[in-house]
Amino acid sequence: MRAMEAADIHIIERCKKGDSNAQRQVYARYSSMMFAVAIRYTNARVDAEDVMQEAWIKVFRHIKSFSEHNSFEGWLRRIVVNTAITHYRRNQKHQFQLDIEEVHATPNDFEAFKEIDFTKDELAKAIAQLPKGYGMVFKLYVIDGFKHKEIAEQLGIDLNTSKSQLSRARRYLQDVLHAMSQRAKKE
Amino acid sequence: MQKKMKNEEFDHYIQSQFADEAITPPQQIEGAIFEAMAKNSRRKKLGVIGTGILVLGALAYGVNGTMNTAHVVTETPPVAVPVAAPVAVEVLDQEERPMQKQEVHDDVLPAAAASASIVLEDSDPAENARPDNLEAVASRSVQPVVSNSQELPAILHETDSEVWVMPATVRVKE
Repeated sequence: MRAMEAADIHIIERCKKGDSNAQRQVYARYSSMMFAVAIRYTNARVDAEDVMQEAWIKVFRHIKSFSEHNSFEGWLRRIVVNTAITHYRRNQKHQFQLDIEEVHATPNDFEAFKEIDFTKDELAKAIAQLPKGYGMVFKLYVIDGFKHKEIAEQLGIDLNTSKSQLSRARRYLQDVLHAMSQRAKKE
Repeated sequence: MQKKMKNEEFDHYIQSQFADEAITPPQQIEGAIFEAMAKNSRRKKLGVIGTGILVLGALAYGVNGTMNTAHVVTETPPVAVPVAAPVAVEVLDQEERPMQKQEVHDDVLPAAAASASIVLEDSDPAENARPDNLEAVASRSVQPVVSNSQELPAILHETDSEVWVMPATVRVKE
């Protein structure tokens, strides 16, 4: 994440005063990152647009509470992730129970993927194939660095459910990536 | 031969792939966001203006009320009101009221209850009693005044030679 520079601090200060030019500058600088996060969580552009809009309104409404000692990008990322979680919970109330039944094994380690260089798009596609409950826990834990306790609280699930969902997500992803690599080798 | 990869290594590998993720959002989102924010701020401003107007209105109403009260006070100077005999009658009337009320109550109630018993059967007793009371009070308030005012000359006759000095210095003549 980018370190806070004096110019960033100055723009944020202007945003805190309600300066719309400064708000547009902040939007221009961070909107691509925000939109990528929103798409990663929603897997759909239309939903991502809703999450993005809601998240940015939250950003400007609560920007006064942001402290310059923290990472601004990290703060923005948290807001968009939390908004995506709210969106997910609003739309997928019963998805979790269905997901639990789908995967059986829980591996300890991944097979070697170091030799196979997956592109970011390939990884994103593989992660998008995860059942929604698993995908949510996997993205929160692995990509955005949430702890199991936070995930459990945010998704309204048990701590052990979060842990088991992550294990199952890894196993599922391993299968998907393995299949992709086999296909790539044949081609 | 395949080499095993630890979970942490795999997590780190995935995380590094998404470290600088960026997808350009559609143009219209920016417009929608800033339009929504402008709407919110307009609503806030209107709210502040509305509150201001309400406060000013309340203040104006309060000040106006105070001025009106002051006006009334100045219009009615604290001059001693000439108290004539009827005032004395009124005082007497007020003093006698509890007893008279009881008497009238006793007289009027049975007749009223007899006539209204069917109509008011299901309604509140307190409400039922009220019209009777009013009726009783109405009938009472007329009679004593008349009777007292008729008696008044007699009382005044008795004090023919005396001059009553009251707060407003009223002289009662025949």
